[in-house]
Amino acid sequence: MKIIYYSHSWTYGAYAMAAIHVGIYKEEKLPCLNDILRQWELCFMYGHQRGNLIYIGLDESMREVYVIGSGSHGGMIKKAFDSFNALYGIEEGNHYVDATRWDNSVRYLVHLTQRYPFLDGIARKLFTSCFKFSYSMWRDKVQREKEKLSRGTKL
Amino acid sequence: MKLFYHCFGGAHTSITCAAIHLGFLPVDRTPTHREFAYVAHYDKMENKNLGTPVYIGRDEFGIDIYAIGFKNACSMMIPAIKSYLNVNNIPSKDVLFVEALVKLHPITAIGGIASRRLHLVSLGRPLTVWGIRRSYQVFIDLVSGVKENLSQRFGMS
Repeated sequence: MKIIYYSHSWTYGAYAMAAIHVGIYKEEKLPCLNDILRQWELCFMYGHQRGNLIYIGLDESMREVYVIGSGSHGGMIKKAFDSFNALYGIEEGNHYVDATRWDNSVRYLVHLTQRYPFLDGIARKLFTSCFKFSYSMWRDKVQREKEKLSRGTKL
Repeated sequence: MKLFYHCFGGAHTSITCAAIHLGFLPVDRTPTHREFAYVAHYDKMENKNLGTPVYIGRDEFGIDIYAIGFKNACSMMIPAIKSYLNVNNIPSKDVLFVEALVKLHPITAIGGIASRRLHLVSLGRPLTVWGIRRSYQVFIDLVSGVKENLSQRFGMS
C-alpha cells in the first residue's frame, strides 16, 4: 500500500506529516531550528509546485510514503489515481491523508515574502512559530493514520 | 496504449473528439442534433466524477480511447497521473493525453454550465450541441492531427 499525503502545496503540512511518518522528523521531539528553516526554504522554493508525486521513504511496515501538491483538487487526484489503478490493474491500494488545513497561512507567508523580500526575517520567525504550533497536531494525525492502517480500516 | 481526450468537464468536447476518433460522428459533414443524442456519454459526466476516465472504445490502431474531465487543472493532473503511473512501473509512453479544450462559442460554455451544474439539461444540452456544431471543423482537424501522429507512430498509412 502506498501512503499519499496531499495538500494544496506539498511542502508544508503534507511534507511534515510524511517526514514524521517515515521517521525523518522524530515523533517525540520537535525538529531542530535548522531543520525547520530548511523546510521554510522548501516552501519558499517549491511551494508553487503541483502534480508531482514525490517519494519520501518507507515506514516501519515497509509501506511507501509519498507527498503531492494537489492545489484545490485533492478529491480529483484521489479519483484519478484510484481509477487508473483499475485501468492498469494496479492491485496495490492507496491510503490518502489530507493535509490541506495547515497550508493556508504558510502559503500567504511565502507569497508575501516572495513579493517583499525584506520581510524574510519576520517570515522565518512566523514560519517557525506556525511549525512549532502545528507539530503536535501533525504528530497526532500521523498516529491516527498509522492506527487506521494497522487496523486495516477501509480508508 | 491508452489515449485520453481531456477537457474541463469531460462531458462535451472530449466526448465529441473521442466519438469522431472512433467514427461515431462523421468527419465529412457536421452531424445533426439527433446524431449527438446517440453519442454515448455525451453531456452525462457528473461533477463528482471528474478525474475518472470514461471508456469510449478501441480504434483501428488498437488504442483504447477514453474521455476525462480535469476542470481547469490539466497542467497539474497530467503530471500527477504520469508520475503516479511511473512509480507503478507503467511507462508514460503507454499513455497519451490530448487536450480537447478547443475555443468554442461562449454559448457552449453557458449550455454546459446549465446542463451539468444547474441540471437544466433540456435547456443546456441543445446549447452545447449548437456550439459544438458551429465549430465542428475544429474538432475534425484536431482528431485528424492526432490520427496522423498515431499512424506515423505505428507506421501505418
